[in-house]
Amino acid sequence: MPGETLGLVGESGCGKSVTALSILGLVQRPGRIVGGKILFKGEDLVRMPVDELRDIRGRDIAMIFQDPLSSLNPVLKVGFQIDEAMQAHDKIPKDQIERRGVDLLKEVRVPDAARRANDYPHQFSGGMRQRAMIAMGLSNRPEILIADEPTTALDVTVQAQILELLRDLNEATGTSIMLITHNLGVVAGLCKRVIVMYAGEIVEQGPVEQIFESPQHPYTWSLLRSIPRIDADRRERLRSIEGLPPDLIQLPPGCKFSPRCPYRIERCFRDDPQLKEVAPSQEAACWVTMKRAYAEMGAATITDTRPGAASGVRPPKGVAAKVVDARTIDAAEGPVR
Amino acid sequence: MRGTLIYIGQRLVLIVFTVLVVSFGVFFIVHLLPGNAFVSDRVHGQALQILLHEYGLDQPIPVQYWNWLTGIVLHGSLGVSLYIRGLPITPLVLRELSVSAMLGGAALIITIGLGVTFGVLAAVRQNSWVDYLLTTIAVIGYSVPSFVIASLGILIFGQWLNNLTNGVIYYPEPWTGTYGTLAELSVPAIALGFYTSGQITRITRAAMLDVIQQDYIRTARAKGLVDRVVVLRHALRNALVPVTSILGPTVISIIVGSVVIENIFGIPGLGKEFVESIFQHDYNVTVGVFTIYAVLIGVANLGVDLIYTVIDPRIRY
Amino acid sequence: MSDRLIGKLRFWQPLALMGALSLVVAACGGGTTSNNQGSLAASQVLKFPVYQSAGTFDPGEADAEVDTEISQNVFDNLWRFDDKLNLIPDLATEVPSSSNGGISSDGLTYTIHLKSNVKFNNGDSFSSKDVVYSFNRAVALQGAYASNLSAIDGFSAVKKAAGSPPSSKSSAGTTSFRKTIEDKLAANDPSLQMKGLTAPDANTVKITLASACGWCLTAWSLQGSTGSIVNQKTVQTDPENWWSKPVTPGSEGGMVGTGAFYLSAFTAKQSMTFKSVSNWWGTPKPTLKEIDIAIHDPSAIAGDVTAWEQGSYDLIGYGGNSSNLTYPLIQGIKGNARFAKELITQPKGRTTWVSFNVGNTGTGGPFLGSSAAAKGLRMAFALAVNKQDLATTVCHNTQCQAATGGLITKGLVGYLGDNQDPLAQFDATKAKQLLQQYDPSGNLTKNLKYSYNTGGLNDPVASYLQSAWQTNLGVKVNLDPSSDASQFISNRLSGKYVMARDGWQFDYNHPQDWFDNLWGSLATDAGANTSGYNDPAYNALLKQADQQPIDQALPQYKQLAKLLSDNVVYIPLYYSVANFAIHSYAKGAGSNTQADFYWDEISIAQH
Ligand SMILES: Nc1ncnc2c1ncn2[C@@H]1O[C@H](COP(=O)(O)OP(=O)(O)OP(=O)(O)O)[C@@H](O)[C@H]1O
Ligand code: SF4
Ligand SMILES: [Mg+2]
Repeated sequence: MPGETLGLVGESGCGKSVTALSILGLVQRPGRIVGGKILFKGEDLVRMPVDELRDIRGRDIAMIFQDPLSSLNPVLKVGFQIDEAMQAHDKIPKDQIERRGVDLLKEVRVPDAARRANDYPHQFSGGMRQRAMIAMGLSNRPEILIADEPTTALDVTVQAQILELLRDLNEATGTSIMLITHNLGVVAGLCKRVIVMYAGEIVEQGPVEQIFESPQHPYTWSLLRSIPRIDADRRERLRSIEGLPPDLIQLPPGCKFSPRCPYRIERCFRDDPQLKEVAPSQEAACWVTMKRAYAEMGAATITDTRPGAASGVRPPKGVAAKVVDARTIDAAEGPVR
Repeated sequence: MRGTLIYIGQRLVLIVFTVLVVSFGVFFIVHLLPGNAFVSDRVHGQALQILLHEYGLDQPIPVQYWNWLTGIVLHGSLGVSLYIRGLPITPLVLRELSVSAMLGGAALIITIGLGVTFGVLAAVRQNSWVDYLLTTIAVIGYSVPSFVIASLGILIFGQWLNNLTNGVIYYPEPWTGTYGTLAELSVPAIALGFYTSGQITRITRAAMLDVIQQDYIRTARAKGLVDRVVVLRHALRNALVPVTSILGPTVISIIVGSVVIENIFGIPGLGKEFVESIFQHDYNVTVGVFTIYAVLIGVANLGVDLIYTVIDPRIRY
Repeated sequence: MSDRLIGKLRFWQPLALMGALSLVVAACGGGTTSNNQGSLAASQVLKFPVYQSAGTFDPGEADAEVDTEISQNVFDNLWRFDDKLNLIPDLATEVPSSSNGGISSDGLTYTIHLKSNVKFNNGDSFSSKDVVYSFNRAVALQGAYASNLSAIDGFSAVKKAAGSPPSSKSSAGTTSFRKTIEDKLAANDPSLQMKGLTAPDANTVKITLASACGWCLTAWSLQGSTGSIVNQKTVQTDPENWWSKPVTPGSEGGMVGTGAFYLSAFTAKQSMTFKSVSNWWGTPKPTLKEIDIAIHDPSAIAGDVTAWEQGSYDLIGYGGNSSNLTYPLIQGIKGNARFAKELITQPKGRTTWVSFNVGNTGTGGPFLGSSAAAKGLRMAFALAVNKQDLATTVCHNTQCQAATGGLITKGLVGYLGDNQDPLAQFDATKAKQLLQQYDPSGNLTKNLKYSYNTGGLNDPVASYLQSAWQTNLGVKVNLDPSSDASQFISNRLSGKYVMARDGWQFDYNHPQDWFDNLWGSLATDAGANTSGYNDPAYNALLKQADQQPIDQALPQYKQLAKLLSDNVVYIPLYYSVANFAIHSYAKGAGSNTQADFYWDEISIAQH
């Protein structure tokens, strides 16, 4: 949806970056997309020939990355790296490229932009580098900007500035933004819609307020509980999700969250739940959903969040050892390996 | 910029110092060798003494060295030849230097051109037959001594191809003109550049494989750049940094190798002169050539250091 | 103009057609005679390679045959040898003799009349002053061949005045030895003027000798050497290096002589070009316009032979390089029907032998002295070598022939005649017997060494000798090769070897050239008596012989040769044979025992 701001959240290692990369077909070898569809304007990017996909990269869908230092080429001037993105496509007239490069740097609030365009990345501070990355991403006026944890490597004040910048840009240019983060607070500040991922799959999606207000998937619910709150009592124990995220190559059968879910039922170990509407414009993939958990398992007052604690269901024998063919693993919109 | 100038200045001082030490060492050793340029069935006794005196060879070695040094500093003259009696050496060795520079330059072009191309291709086609083929060639390159390659070159181009094509394709050896033809230059330049190109292939391949994994390559691809640009502009530029670091040793290899190659192919360059002058006891020529080599190596290393700053902007002196 | 051109073309067309036709006929018929024979090629440029850069062309200093064989075409002497080694006038109107009044009856005064039309290559005219300058200069420089002028009255005085080199302790003089000499000569400093050398008028030179001299005429005729005439003006432009500078019209300096050719380009270790002097004063006028000499590495000879076969070179072997063709190359040329006839074999005035140390006490060895034992052992080693077999084995009878007529090479004045040298015999039984007699225990001949410099035939000769002495005497002689010729020669000349390779190439056709330089007190004084043989009888006889005209002196020189063989001072090995590759169209090119035929005799026929 044009002008949308979408958040993609999930624990570290759950496949957020891979999902974003697979959109543009940038998954590093030996990884490859084994199935599924990525639809953009009605076309499947997965099956698109490389040449056509390359035209989309940077022009229609731009991407900025987690670590701004390592993501900029150290031996090329920053300005040049921005201009280059425009030269790769015919969207910006050749004679305007250089001026636009500097304008972009101004736009992302790099001071003394004209001079700084001739600097090399190592001469930039961390925040400036990320701004430069954003400028690069915006250079071709893309329809979608995928920002993969753009603030993780930065300190808090700079984080706030960058997020504000993104919000302004979204409002001013109408560029859709897909923000990838494991920080729900960031999502709350910037996004209208949110997708929650677990083990390479979407487990819940919907409008931000609605999901924050009433998460339906036990994983989302756990995530929200684990946000440290500024106003919380200092002595209150920081609640985190028990257990570790699963190895994405060897997923359990049934619901991927079942090994860690407090509300799991027998069925969860057998059948993989699909996304289904749980509220207007909100979807979740869960056999139980929080509605039922609140109603039947006293989720409102629960303190013990160990797996199966609320429902009392233990995994059937031999399940944990079962190895699943990696090719059947689903990613966000298609399985990735 | 100022820092760079100061750095260059310091390095030049160092080069001058090295050259002084090296030239004195060679001067000393060469003059201690028995025999001299003049002795023949006819030149002995008084006639020999006169010649030795005429060319200052009867003076103490430090005095001779001092005279030699002042000759260079005051007149830019490396002295006169003893073998070609009285002939000023400077024009002779400069001409020979230009011949060697042409050979060395061609070898360097082959080294870098072939080495980098092979290295990039091998990395881009990692683990394919292309990779295996090129890596094998590189391993042969840096494990087979240049004189073996040279002899093979003469055998293949000078003999087999000559017989096979009835003299249509024929490598003429030895070299007869001053600068040689392109055909005459080809085989020696390849023989000389093959060893070093193997080294460069190896380093380039490793560096490329490392660089391709870097985040900024992903960035470049995400911009929608075509593979050629990604590989050449983004990956190769960075891979050249480690390649540059072995450029200094490479140039030294080529200079040392040229002595062997020039003598095998009969190329009238500095390397051949060097060996010849030792046998002819032409002291001034030996010392002059060695001094030029010392300067060349110093300047080459300085040049490499400066190229570094061009290739990698993070490096400043 | 254009009409005439067309007319010309009309005239030429049928002619060209006829020419082409006759060529075809000649080619098809395989005719031996072409109608072009005798007519000259359009391009009169002689091209050949040499295998060393010139050391110096300065006649005052030159000491290498390879250099003088080239410079003989630029510099002239008062008289010279013709191709058959007869003396003929060159700058002088005649060769002085007692019959033409050129030599006084006491043999001490020479009156030499000079040609009046002689000019130097730079246009300067030549006069008696130039002879005086050239001779005095050569003596003062004290080069290797200064002694060729030693009979002239005042030689020793000038030599002394020119000075032995100043003490080595003195700081580096800015003016060189040579510069000083040139300055003194320019100032007519009397100390550098030989008393016996005067110029009564512009066309007459008078030379008075300190003592009678039977060899002087020949010695002064040595090409490109101390008897050659140089131009004072050009020498003084650059006393060190004038000889390597090309002559450029309009400017002073360069390699200037009175000969038919001048140096027009010189690139050290690369090439030399000589051009013929237009309107040269002498006769016959040179036909060649230009001589292109490529200076190659000796290793290039195989490629050069190919180039010669393809016609890129006209000849190989000129410039003193006639021993460079190796046996396989010679065989290759012989085996090719087209070129077999163009391989020219020419015995050279060069002999190789083994010298025993007979007189240098410091060096010692079993051969030292004139005792019967020492002599007997020398004889044993000499007789144990089969010289004929050596020539066959080592030289395949193409690069040398057995030396059986004494050390003076066959074909030269002083040659004893085939098989006249008793030391040339091979008698293994007698050799063994002598060894038994004088060294029964074998102690004396233990650890003997044969010293030689490597390269050319020297290595196979050394191995041959070693095995001959082993087989025929049962003596193991160790080989002592030296890759540094200059060191070997200086050791050899100072008599440091017990047994060494020795040899001599004659300079001028006179026995004095051999007997003065190699044995006796003169050689000892010069620091060049390898064997140390210095017998009073030899010295007395040599002095006598040197002072007489050759026809009277010859029996005495033969007597000297007998002294050497009676004393078994040497083991004769071989006479060198040169091999030239000369295309038959290079008319007049060739050589005698001494040197290449002059360039001015050569012409390039149509081919
Ligand atoms: N769909 C998938 N199929 C197979 N493996 C996957 C999939 N998604 C992710 N992985 C594996 O998980 C690893 C971590 O994934 P990714 O880098 O996308 O996590 P992330 O959510 O971005 O984590 P972080 O928050 O630390 O950046 C990847 O290297 C990949 O090997
Ligand atoms: S309740 Fe069942 S389906 Fe729902 S998250 Fe837990 S394990 Fe999965
Ligand atoms: Mg990530």
